[in-house]
Amino acid sequence: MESLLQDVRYGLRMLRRSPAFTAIAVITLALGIGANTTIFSMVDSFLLRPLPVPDPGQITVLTQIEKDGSHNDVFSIAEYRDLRSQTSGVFSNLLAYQFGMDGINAYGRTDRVLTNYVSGNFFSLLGIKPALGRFILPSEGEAIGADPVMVLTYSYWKTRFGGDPEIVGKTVSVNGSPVTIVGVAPEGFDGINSVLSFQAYLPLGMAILEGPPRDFMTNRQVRNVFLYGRLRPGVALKQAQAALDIVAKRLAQQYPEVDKDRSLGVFPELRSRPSPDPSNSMVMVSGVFLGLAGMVLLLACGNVANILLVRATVRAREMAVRAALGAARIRLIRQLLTESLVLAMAGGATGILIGLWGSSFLSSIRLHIDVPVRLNFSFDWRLLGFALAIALATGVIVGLMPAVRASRQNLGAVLHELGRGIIAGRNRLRDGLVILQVGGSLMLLIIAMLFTRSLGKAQHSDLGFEPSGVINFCMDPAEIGYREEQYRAFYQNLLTRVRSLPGVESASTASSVPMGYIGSSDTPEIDGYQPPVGQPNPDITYNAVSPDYLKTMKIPLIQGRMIDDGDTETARFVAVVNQAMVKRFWPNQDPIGRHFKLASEPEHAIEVIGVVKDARFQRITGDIAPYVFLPVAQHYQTNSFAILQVRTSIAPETMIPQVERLIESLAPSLPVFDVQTMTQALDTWRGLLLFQIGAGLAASLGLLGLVLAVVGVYGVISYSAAQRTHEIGVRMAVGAQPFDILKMVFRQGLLIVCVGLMLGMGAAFASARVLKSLLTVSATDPWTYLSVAAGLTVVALSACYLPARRATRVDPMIALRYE
Amino acid sequence: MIQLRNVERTYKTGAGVTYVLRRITMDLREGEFVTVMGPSGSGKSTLLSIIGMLDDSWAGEYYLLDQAVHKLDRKKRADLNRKYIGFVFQSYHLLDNLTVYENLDVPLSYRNISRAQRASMVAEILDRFQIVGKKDLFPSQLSGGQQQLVGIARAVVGNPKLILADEPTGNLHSSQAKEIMELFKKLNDQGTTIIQVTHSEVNAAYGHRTIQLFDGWITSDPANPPATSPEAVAR
Repeated sequence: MESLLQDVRYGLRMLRRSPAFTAIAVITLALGIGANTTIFSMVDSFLLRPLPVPDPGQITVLTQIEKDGSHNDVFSIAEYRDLRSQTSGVFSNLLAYQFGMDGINAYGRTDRVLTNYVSGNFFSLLGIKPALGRFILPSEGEAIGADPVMVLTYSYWKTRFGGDPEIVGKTVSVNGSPVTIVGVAPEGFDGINSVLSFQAYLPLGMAILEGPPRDFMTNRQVRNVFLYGRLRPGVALKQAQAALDIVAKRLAQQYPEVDKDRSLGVFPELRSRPSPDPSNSMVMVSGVFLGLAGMVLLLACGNVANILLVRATVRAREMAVRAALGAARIRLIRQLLTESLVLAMAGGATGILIGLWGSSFLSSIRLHIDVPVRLNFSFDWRLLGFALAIALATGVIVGLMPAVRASRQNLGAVLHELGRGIIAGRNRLRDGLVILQVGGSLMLLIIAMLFTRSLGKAQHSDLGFEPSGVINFCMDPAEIGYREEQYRAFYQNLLTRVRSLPGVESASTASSVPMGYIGSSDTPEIDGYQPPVGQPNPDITYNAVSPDYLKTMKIPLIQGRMIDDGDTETARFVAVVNQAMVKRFWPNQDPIGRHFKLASEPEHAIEVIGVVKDARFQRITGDIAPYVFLPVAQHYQTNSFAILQVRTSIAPETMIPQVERLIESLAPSLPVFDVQTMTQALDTWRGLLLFQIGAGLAASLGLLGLVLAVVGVYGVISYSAAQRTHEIGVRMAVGAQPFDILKMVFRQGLLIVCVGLMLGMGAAFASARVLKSLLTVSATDPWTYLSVAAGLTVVALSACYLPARRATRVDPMIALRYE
Repeated sequence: MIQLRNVERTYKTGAGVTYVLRRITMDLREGEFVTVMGPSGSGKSTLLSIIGMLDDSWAGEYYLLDQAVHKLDRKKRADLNRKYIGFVFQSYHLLDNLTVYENLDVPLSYRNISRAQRASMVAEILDRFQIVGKKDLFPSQLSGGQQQLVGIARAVVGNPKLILADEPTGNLHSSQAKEIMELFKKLNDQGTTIIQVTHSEVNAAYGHRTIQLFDGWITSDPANPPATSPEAVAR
C-alpha cells in the first residue's frame, strides 16, 4: 500500500513537472470522458434511473398485444378493474392513471398544468409518504366526479403556491369545478412517467373534467389509462406473464367484440420507457449515441496512448535504471500504470465538469411545448460511477501498452545508449493507433454528415402544407370552466374578430397541429372496408377544424369541396380526407359520398365531401397515414381544446400581442400557451427536433473526433520526422532536394490516412445501416461517404505538412553532428 | 563468490550471429576488487550486465554465491540482483525527478523494507557519504562528482555484497575521479566485492587484479589463465 502511495506521489510529481504534456493529455481525456458522461446523463435519465419509490424493481408495466404483434399500453378502466381483481396472486396490486391538461385557477390566476388522474391505490402501491396532508385514498375515484380532491407535486406546490404550509384544505378550481387540495407529494416525486413531469394528482373518477364520453368508466372501448403493477415479493416476471396469459384468454371469451385475439404483456418498468414495447427505438438510439461517444473516447485514448508511448521511449533510461536498482517488472508496469491512472483521474474529474455543463445544456433544450417534459439530466451516483469507471478503464487502456513495452526493454542496451538516451526508429504500434483514429474519426464524421443531410432534407421536404406565415395560439376554455355552448360561441366570436385584424389573411382553429403532441384518433367503421379477420378497425387520426383551415394551412384541395360555414351540428355530418385515406380504403374508387362512423360517435354516419393532398401531420419521415378533417362545429362536445392558427401577410410574430389581447378581452384569465409560429412548432420531437438533436450531437462528436485524429496524425508524423533527423541529414548530404524530403514524410502520412480511411469507410457503412431508420437520406449515400473522406484526407494531410516542411529545413551538418 | 563457465553472448544480425562474449570462464572471490579492461567493443559492459543480471540472453553457467543463476527464471534473478548487487554507472543514471534523498530511497523501496527502516538506512548513508546537506536537491543541482557520489551511495545503501561499476569515473575530471576511487577502495576494505570496468590504468591500480578482454575473449586473467584462447581456437 505504501509503495502504491509512493507511485501515486511520484506520478503526481511527474505530471506537475511536465505541465504541457499533462494539460494536453488531461484535456484530451476530459473531452472524451465529458462527451460520454453527457450522453450517459441522457441515457441514465430516460432509461436507467429507477422510480423514486421503495423496491422499484417490483414495479411492472402492462401492455396489450394485438394479433399483428403491435403493442398498445392503454386500457379501459373496466379492463383495469378486471385485471386488478384477477391477478392478485402475482401482483400485490395494480394501479391505473391517465394524463390530463387542466386549468387550475387559484388566487385569481389560471395555470395550465399537466395532471395525473390516478386510481385510489396509486400512492399506496408505490409506497411513498406525503410531504404534507394525505394522498388520494383507495376508496376515492371509483365513481364519476365523486371525489373532488387533489394532491400537488412538491415542485408545483413550491413554485405555484410558494410552499404554503397551510395549503391543505384550500379549494381551487380545476376546469371551473371546485377541488380541495388534500396533500403534497414528497420532494423528487413527479409521477411515474419517464418522459413527463406531472404537477397534480386527482382521483380517476374526476377525469370527467377532461370531457371524456360519459361512460368512460364502464365502456371497454374507451381506453385511456396506463396500468402499472407491483409484483408480489418472490414472484418472477414469468409467473406474472403466465397469470396474464390466462386472464387474457378469459377476457377474450367474455368480451370477444373488444378483447378477441388480444394478449397481455408485462415488462419491468425500467424496460418500459417510454412505452412497454420491445420495438421502441429509445434503447437503440441511446446505444447509438453512447457508441458514438465511446468512439470519441477511444480516439482520445489513442492520442494519449501515443503520447505515453513517446514518453515511455523518452523514459526508457529511467525504467532501465529502476530495473537495475531492483525494481521487478510488475513494479515498473504498476508505476507507469499508476501515472496513467492519475492522468485519467484528472481527465475524469475535468470530464465530469464538461459532462455537467453538457448535461445542463441538454436539459435546457427548448422543446417548443408547454408540457413539462422531464429533461432533468442531473448527476447522481450512477453518473459519477460511470465517469469514474470509464476514467479507470481509460487509464488502463492508455497506460497498459506503453507500460508493458517500457518494462520489456533490453536494460543493458538502454543503459548504454547513454549519449542518445532515446531509442530511435519508427513505431508500428503508434502508426496503428493513428490509423484507428483516422478510421474512427471518418466513421463519426460520416454519421454526423448523414444526420445533417437528413435534417436538411427534412427541413426542405414538401410537408404538404405551408408552415411559414402562420402563428399558433393554444387554448382550452374548459380550463376556466366554459361549457360547450360557451366555448362554441367563444371560438366563433374569436375567429370573426381575428379575421378582421389588419394583416390577417385567414384564421381557423384545429384540434391538433402538424408534429404536435396532441392528437385524436378513432377506430371508425368504414363503408366498403372490412379489416382482416381478427383485426380491429384501423386507427385513424383526425383533426377537428373550422372552415378556412385548409386555406390557412394552404393544403391543396384535390377533389370535392372544403369544410365551410354550412357544416354545422345540425347539418349532415361530413369529412374531408387525405389521399392516403382514399388509397387505402377506396382505391380506384370515387371517395366522394362514401361514409364512415367514428367508434366514439357511432350515431352519426360521416360523409366524405372532399379529398386534400397528403400532408405530413404525424411524422416528418416515413409513409403518410390516412388522415381525416372533421368540421369542429359538428364535434365541439369532445373538442374544447383548440389551436387558433392565423395566417398573416406580415411577420406572424408581430401579431402575437394583438391576438393575445383579443383573447384576453373575450375570455379573461384563459391560459394561452404554445404561442409560436408554425415553423417553430415543427421543431418538436415528432418533427425536426430529433433530427436537430441527432445532427447536433453527431456533429459535435464528429468534430471532436476530427480534432483528435488530426492531433494524432500531426503527433505521429512530427515525432517520426524528428526521429529521422539523422536520416534526413544524410539524405540531404548525398543530394536529396527539399521536395524529396517532403515526399518522404508525406508518404508515411498518406499511408496512415489511406489505411485509416478504408477502415473508417467499412465501420461507417456498418454503423449507418443500424441507423437507417433514423435517417431521411440513404445510409449508404455515396456523396456523403466520398465528400467526408475527401475532406478528412485534406485535413489530415494538412496536419502532415508542418512536420514535413520542418523536415525539409534540416541542416545536414547540424543533423549529423547531433547524432 | 562468482563462477562463470563458458558464458557466451551473441546478437543476431542480418548477416548471421555476432559474438560479443566467447567462452568466458572466470572466478571471483568474496572481498576482491577486480578490474575489467579492454578496448571499446571488447564486451566489458556486456560482461558486467550479465553478472548484474540485467541481461538474460546468454548461454553458459553462472554461479553467484553457489546459486546457479543460469537455472533461475527472470524473477528469481531479479531477487538475487536486489539482494546482493549494487550498480554504479558512468553516466550516474540518477533519476532526474527525484531528490537525492528519494534517489537513495528508490532501491530500498523495491526490497520490501518498512518506511521507518528505510528512512534510517538513507539517513545513515547520507551521513556516511557526508551529503546530508544535499538530500533535498535534485540531480541537476549537483556537480558531476557529487552526482557520482550519490550514485555510489545509492549502490551501497542496500548493503550489497557486490558492486558493479561501469566506468564510474568516465565522466569526471581527475581529482573527482581520485576521490571516487578512494571511496571504492574504502568500501572494498570494508568487505564489499567490487568489479569495475575502466579504460584507466590509474583506476585499475586500485584493484587486486585486472582481467583483459579482447573481441569478447578473456585474453588475460591473473587468477584464471584462459582455458581456450583465440589463438588456440584459430589453430
